[in-house]
Order: sequence, then structure tokens, then C-alpha cells
Amino acid sequence: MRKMLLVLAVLVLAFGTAFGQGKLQEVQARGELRCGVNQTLPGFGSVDAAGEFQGFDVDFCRSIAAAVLGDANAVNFRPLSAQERFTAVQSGEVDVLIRNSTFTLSRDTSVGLNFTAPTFYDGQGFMVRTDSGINTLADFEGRSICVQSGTTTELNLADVLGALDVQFTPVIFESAPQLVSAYDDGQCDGWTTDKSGLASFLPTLGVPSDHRIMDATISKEPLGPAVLHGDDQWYDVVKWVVYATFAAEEYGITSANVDAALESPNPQVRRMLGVDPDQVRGLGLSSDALYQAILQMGNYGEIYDRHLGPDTQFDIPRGLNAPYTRGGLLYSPPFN
Amino acid sequence: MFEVIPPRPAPGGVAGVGGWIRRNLFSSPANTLLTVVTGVFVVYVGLSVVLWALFDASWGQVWANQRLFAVYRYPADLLWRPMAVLAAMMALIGVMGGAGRRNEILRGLFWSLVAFVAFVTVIALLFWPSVRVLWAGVLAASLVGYAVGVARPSFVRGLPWAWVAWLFLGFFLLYGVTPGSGLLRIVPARDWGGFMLTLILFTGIVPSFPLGIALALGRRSKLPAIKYVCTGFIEIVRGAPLIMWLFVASLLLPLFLNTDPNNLPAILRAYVAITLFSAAYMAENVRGGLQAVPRGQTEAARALGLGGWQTTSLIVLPQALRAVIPAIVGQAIGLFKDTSLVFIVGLADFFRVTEIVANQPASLQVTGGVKLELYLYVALIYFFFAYRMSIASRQLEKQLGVGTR
Repeated sequence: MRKMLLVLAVLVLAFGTAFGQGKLQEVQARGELRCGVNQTLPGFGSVDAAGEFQGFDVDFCRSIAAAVLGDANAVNFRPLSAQERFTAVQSGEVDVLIRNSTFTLSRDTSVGLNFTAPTFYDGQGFMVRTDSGINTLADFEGRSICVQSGTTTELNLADVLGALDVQFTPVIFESAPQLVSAYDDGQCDGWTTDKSGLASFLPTLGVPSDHRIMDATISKEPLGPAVLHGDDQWYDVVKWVVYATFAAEEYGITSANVDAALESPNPQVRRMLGVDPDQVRGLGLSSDALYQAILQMGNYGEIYDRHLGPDTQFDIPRGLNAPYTRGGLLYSPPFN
Repeated sequence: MFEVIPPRPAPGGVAGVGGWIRRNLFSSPANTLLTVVTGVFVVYVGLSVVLWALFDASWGQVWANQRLFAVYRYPADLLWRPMAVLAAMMALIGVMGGAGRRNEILRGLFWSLVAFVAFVTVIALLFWPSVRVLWAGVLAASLVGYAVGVARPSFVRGLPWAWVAWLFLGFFLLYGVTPGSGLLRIVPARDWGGFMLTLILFTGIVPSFPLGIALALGRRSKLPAIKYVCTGFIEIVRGAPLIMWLFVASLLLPLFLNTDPNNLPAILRAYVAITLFSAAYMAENVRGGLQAVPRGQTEAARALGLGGWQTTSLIVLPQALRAVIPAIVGQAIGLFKDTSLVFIVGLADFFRVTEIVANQPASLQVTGGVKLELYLYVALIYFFFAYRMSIASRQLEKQLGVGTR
């Protein structure tokens, strides 16, 4: 069925572009961006008590809206379940999907998506008690590890520790809350899931300071925005908005000082902010598009700090999610 | 000679409460042991739940998110619109309850709902200044409706039309008419949710009723085309779980109708799926009733010279429906809870809001999370409505004498 939908979507798209109606023009004519998000992942996408969407992924929707439409609030958020998220992109129900979706080969090909640069590099990690004496994966020899059943984390755990020839006892749970309380009660020595998940559940433990997240990461989970395969102009727009948030952090441009940065002698900055307008216009956007994105939503670091940084309860270390200049993986191509 | 012995009280431990306890709980050593063990267990569990709810539980998140629970993202300044629809609904039920004063079941249902509304109104008066007037208005509308029903019982005859009008006007009031801003601006259906959505989807039982009757009659038709289409529909729909039909409606309906999925709100798609699903089950319930009507009834009607339609609508259907009313109420209770499956197509119904609130960053700051509190709260609300309907269904069964003839 997915294939059929994909074929249909591509057909519709082919007709659309034949009449000069790409996604970008469609979004601009409509005046709002339809963005598929999660509403049950704390820190990334949630609905607060006032009914507003909040989170790291949600803010990237707003950045794209600020760039394309000049207004960060011109977003029509569409909460999607994990099961329907890709179909929603294929059928054109959402313009862009920013819902903690992992960039994989099959999603890029047979599912028919195009992923931009990942906005968050996640990976499977381990939580242990500080006094447990477990420092490396080999220390799990003869110990027990709590894991959720039927997930890729269960498979990764068996694969990686099996390859290291570590004998451990997996303790399987159906749901995350059950698992967390079991770990908290001391039913297992360690607990494994994605590192962002570990960080968000850490504050709910009885005595959070008794626990720590190990350095080891045993899987790749690059999460990022995705658009429908086949509309290159729209793909370029979403991609370069994401790159602009990376570059702005690299050059030290924030929502507070972006106006001063308009005077910057750095040709990269001048091109990005539209002082030299040709590059941004090449995307099909007005010359101040990326300037607006940064002015209204801030650079990558600001978005990160708002939802996941040290001032929040999650306090996820930047790790791989730092600019390449500080040892991370965030690297924007030049704005030439 | 003999003298009359005055009547004496029964020996201790035979009659009264003490006797009942002795007979039923402590009649043998094994029985005594069971009673003590069960008693200790029940008291222990009950006490721990109460103590937990009073002292350990943190109800802050449940309290802070009442708006999400009620209407999800429906704009705060337009809350008067869903409340007006609710007030009209309560007024109509009030007319029914007032006019049918001798009908215990309707009246009981009405007063239970009024008790619920009154409870919320008191809370609103004390703590929620923004919706204070609205809740008081709903309470007033219910009582006015009841008074009207008492004074003019004949109004009941117009009620079916009033309900139809309520359905349409209610929809337009919820959805709005004008784009942009203003009092009647359009609120896109994706912002609807919470208990309001649960109730909206629950009304799917109403259109499913005539549909179900039509399907049931069609299945007994002698015309093969009608018969096989109806049978096929009923069996195919009943042959797959509701969750699958929700998916089908959500993904395939826009393709069948060849339209942009954004033109068909997710709520509409879910509503269609729930209505058709419910209609198939309704059809089987009604068919059971049709089969229970003795053949002699039809033959007698024919002998009196009634035509096919008249026989069906005047003789067979009234008796058939009467026999299956309890089954239909049972189906309604099931549907009320099944509406929670719509989370699978991205809708935020009452139950789904629990998950949303549990995953707010603020909820994670509470040690131990707030899931137990949230689920307990949701369970209580579901229980109140489902159990009330179940009581009504039992009263109805008794009144109709189903099962005794």
C-alpha cells in the first residue's frame, strides 16, 4: 500500500510541477506551513497546559515558517502517530515531517522521503547507578539490563554485547514507565534506550543524583526533518533553513545580535543574511528569509538550550550535537 | 390449662444484621478464615489507594490541564461555543426528563447528568473565573429545559426535529462560519479534542441506528442484489477490528474520493469509520430482534390487508426494536469506550490527552511521574458515564420485561 501511495503521490507531484506548482509555491499561496510533529515526546514535541506546541522539533517547524512565510507562527501543527507519519508525507497531508524520525536507507528509498541534515544525533545508551562500578560495556558481564521488548534497542543490545562476548541477563518490559520504575526499584543493574530518552526520564527517578548515563553509545539514530522525495526546490529550502541554524551558531549570530550581524564583513554571514541577496533568492525565497528564521527562532544552540539545554530539566550534553568547531557533527556547507 | 407464651425475639445470632453476618460470613472455620483474609486484603488495598490519593499523589498536572482534558486545543476565548452546544444538549435532555416524569429511566439519567454539571459548576465558581458564567449557564439551561418539559409535555413530539437541528447547528457553532478572527471564526477540526471529541464521536451511534435498521432489513430482503450487498457489508465490516477501519478511513477515504486529505478533517474520517462500524453491529442486533417476531404477526398483518412497508414499519419493527433495546444500549456503552482508539489516526480524544499530559516536560519533573494520577482520573470519568448507562440499560430491561416473556 505504501508503494501504491508513493506512486500516486509522485504522479500528483509530477502534474503539480508540470503546472509550475511546487510545494514551495503551494505553501506560500496557502500562507501556512503544515508540519507533522510528535505531541508525546518531552523536550522534542509536546502540548503544554495552554494548548501550545512546544519542543525542539516543533521549533524547527517555526524556523521554516519564519523563513518561507516571514512568520514563525504561521504553522499548522499536525500531531502524527508513529504509524501514520510517513503516509502523511506521502499523501501531502504535511509539507514537512519533524517528528524524531531516524534517517535510514529504506526510508530514504522505498518509503520515498528526503532527509535534511540531522538536527539531533541520538544513539542508544545506558543508565547505571553511580555506585554500581559499571564503567564500560564489558562491566556488564554477569549483570542484568532492563530493556523494552520489540524495539530496535533490544536487538542492538543483543548484537553489540554479543559481539563483545559479554554474558548478561536481559530483563524485558512492555512499556517504558514499567521499565523505569523496575530499574528504580533495583530490579536490574542497567537500563538501555536512546540517550535522549534516558535523559528525559532521569529526573523522574527517586534520587536522580544516584544515577548516571554512561558514555558508551551503541547505535546511530540521526533524527531530522523529512520531506517528500521528488520536489527538489522544497527539499533545498528546508535543508538550507536547517543549515542556517547551524551556521549562525558557528558564526556566533543569535536572535539578539542578528541585526548587528547585518554589518558583518564576513562574506558568508552577508550571504546567509541576505545582505548580498543572490544566494538566498536562489532558493526561491525573499532575501531576508534566513535572517527572519534566526531573528524569530534563534540559531541551533538557542533552540537546543530552550528545550534540552542546561537550564531545562533534561540537560542533555551537546556531545555529537555541537558545531564541528567544538567537536560535534553540525557542519553547514558554505553559503556561496 | 395452658398460657400463651408472648412472642420472644429470635435467639441471638439468627436474625438481623448479626445473624446475616454469622450465616454468610462465619458459618464454618474455613468460611471464617476466608472472610478474615479477604477482609484484611480489601481494607489494605482500599486504605492504600485512599492514602495514596490523599497524601502521595500529585494532582497538580491533572488540575492544570483541565482545559486539554475538556476540549484539547479549542481556543480559550471561544469556549462559549462548545459550552452553548452542551447547554442546548442538556436543555433537550431536560425537556425529555421533565415531560417523561413518570419515566424513571430518562429522569434518572437527566438528574445524574445535572449532578455532574452542578459538580463542575461549583468547581468553576470557586476556581475557574474564565468559565464560571458558562458552566452556570449550562446548569441553568438544564433546569429550564426540565421546567419546560414539566409545564408543556406535548413539546416532546417536536423533540426528534429539535435533536436534528441541534446536530446541525451544533456542528456549525463548533466549526464556525467566518475565516479570520471574530466570535464566529472557524476553528479547524484538528484543534478539537478531549472529552468534547469523545462525545462527538459517541454521537456516531445516532446515524448508525437508521443505517443499521436499513442493513438488517436489507439482509432479509428477497432481492439478491440488496441482500448480498447488505450481507457483504455487514460481514466484511464485522470481520475486521475497528482500529483497521480507522486506518482505512484515514488513509484510503481521501484516495477514493480523489481529494486532498486536508479537505477531509481527520475527525470526519474517524466519524465515518465509527458510524459504519457501529452500523454493522447495530444491523446484527436489529436482525436478532426481527427474527424474534413470530411469523404469525406478519401473516396477520397481511391478512388485514397491510402492504409490505406498512407491515414492516407498523407491525414488525416496533416489536423487533423493543426486544433489542438493551442490546443497543450495551453497544452504545461499548462504543463510548471504543472511541479512544482514534488516537491511532492522530486525534487527541479524552484518553489520548492522558498520554499528552504525561509527556509534558512539567510532568516529568514530578518524581515518579504522574501517570497513575492521570489514569485514575480518566478511569473515574469513564466509569461514571459507562456505569450510569449500564444502570439505565438494566432498568430498561426490567421495564420492557425482556427475558421474562
